[in-house]
Amino acid sequence: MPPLVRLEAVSKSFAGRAVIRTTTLEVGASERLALIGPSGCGKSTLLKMILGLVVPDTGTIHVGDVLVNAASAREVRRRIGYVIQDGGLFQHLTAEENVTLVARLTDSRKIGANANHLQNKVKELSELAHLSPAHLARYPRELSGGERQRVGLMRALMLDPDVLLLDEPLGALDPIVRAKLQEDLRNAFRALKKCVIFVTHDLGEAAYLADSIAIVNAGKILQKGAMHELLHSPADPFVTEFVGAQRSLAEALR
Amino acid sequence: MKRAALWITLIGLFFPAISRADQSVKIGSKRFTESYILAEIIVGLIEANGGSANHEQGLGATAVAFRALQDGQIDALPEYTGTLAEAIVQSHDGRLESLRAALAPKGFSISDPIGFQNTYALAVTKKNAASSSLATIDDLKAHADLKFGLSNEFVGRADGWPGLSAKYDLHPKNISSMDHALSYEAIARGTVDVVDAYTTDAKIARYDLLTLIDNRAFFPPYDAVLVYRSDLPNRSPAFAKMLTQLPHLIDEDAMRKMNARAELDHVSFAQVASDFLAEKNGGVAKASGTRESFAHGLWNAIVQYGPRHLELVLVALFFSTLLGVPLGILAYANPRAGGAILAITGIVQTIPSLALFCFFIPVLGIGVVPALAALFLYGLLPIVRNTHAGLSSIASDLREAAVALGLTAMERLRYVELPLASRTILAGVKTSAVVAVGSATIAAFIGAGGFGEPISTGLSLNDVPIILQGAIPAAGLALLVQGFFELVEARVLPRSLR
Repeated sequence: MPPLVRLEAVSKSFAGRAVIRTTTLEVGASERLALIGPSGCGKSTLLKMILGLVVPDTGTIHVGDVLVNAASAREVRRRIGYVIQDGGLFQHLTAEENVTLVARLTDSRKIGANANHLQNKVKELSELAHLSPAHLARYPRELSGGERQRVGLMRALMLDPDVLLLDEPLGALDPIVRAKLQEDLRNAFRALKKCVIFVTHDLGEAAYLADSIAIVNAGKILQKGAMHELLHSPADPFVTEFVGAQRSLAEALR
Repeated sequence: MKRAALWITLIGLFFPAISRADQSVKIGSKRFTESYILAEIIVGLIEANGGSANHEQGLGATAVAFRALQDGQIDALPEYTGTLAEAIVQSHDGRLESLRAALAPKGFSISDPIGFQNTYALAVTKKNAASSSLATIDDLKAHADLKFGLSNEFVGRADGWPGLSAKYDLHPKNISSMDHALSYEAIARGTVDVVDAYTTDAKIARYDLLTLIDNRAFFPPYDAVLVYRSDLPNRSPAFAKMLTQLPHLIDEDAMRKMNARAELDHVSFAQVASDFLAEKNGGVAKASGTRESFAHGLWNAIVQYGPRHLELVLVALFFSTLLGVPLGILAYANPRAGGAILAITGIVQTIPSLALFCFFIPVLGIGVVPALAALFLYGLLPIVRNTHAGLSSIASDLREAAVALGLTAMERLRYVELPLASRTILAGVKTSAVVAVGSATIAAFIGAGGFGEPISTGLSLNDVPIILQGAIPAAGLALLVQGFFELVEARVLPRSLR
């Protein structure tokens, strides 16, 4: 089966500074990939390239067989769910209105204007995201950080996208909420069987949620593989250094 | 349906304003008591002759009033031969036949003299006159320390202070210029010692002043006349008939008495005029109307001027919003155009309001339309600026999230960006509305009516209660508008944006 998302030899500079250096990445249709690396390494930029929010200086990006460019970007975005830190919710809409905004504006697409259909989809997603109808009636300001993130996930999944992109979805959460949400995300990802690409800087989280991990440093993907591959056959000294820098609880107690 | 109703309401508000043209003769007046009374008398005479006429009151200074006459916004205007010579014909020849010859090519005619002169004079308190032995203007020369308080117009005219000081070789150390209505207060308080006055001025007696003799015959004759558009007698037979009744209708004493009744006894201009006409017709003057109570006058002012004031504010605000929000969006979407838009609307804001109102007179005439144009321009900046600021302050990750959802630019604007900026935009509209309520009071100076009318009348009469009858409702309306918008905020905005 061909990969669903393909970035081929993409590069990008902002004001003369290289953010992405000629990098290639392929992600399968039901692969769960974590992009991990230090701050400013370019991992968020890779996500934005897939969405057409950042246009690469060189190289091509395909989602399915659609080449991502200015003309196709909007079409591509409808096939992608995107979750950012703190959910990226619009304050003037309730949680439910945030979730259904695009579906309500889109008559002839997957969801349709059918109110029943809309309701069923919301119900299904709220079960997946563990949110009650009371939560959905609230405005973003009236929800906790974790709840906002769950609403963000629902919004991203509303149009039943092929690809789910998450940019540090758990970055701003306290440890207990974070652990619970990690568990729920893992279950959700498994249930969805979609192509999921998420950005994190926590190797443990990456190993827990993803089946493959790509280590990014200074605008380049150094190695992509399963956790054990990174551990046992690192392709670059930085990979060894990065993996070694993550202290385990056991180590801390020694 | 709701939206259609709103449109109809707004258009309905606007139309009475612009379709005021009617066939009656429009008599203008400048902003002082005598001009108001003369205009009322002329209106009364035209009506007595079976015609229809109305009084367009208080058209600011000579230039504004004459401009209105030129543009046909008014048909006739009480004037003085000296003013016509100086301010309009720009010559020192104030003889009636010379003025007629000069104005005829411009399409204006001048009536025969109404019967009195209202010339300039310098006045001092009788007390000062006695202690410093002042009787003629020449006597002032010996007292260079006397403080002069001269009206703005007098200081600026060649036949006013510049010519007078040259002719009499006067060089006082201390001259201040002020609104004419205030100079009497100033001399009464001793802030100034010498003021310019008019010979028919009611306050000369009231403040116990002495007019100094013009012993070198500097001041030109100021015969009261009526200037009118030359085609008017043909258009209105009643006006033509009135012209034959006008000569020697009013003598100096009668005029001074009428001025006194209006200014000192606070009888309305219309009442003074109709009493005068009644008396002329052999009748007995009606018992001089005592002044209505302040509360009653306040209520009348609200009923009489409130609807127009509100109309000015609402119509101007409607169009400011209609253009201001799109301009703000444009400024946000296109930063290059944005700089220019914000700069231009900012510059408009710095133009003094009276100047902006007068700026439109050549193009739009006088009355409601130029006032609306000026109020509309004033209202733009807060709305443009707040729309731009509201949109620009949306966090970049939220904007990006909207793009990533696959919404088109129009959908993002309509469903995400404008709603997120709505609180700030609404605040801009509120500011604009409150500013418009205030600025609209100045609209009366170009004949647009509203609460500015009692204010300008009160100013020209130096009558504080009348000023308050305009100022209090205007301030009240500003608070009301503020409250209304706070209510809208509470009702319309989702609670998460409040």
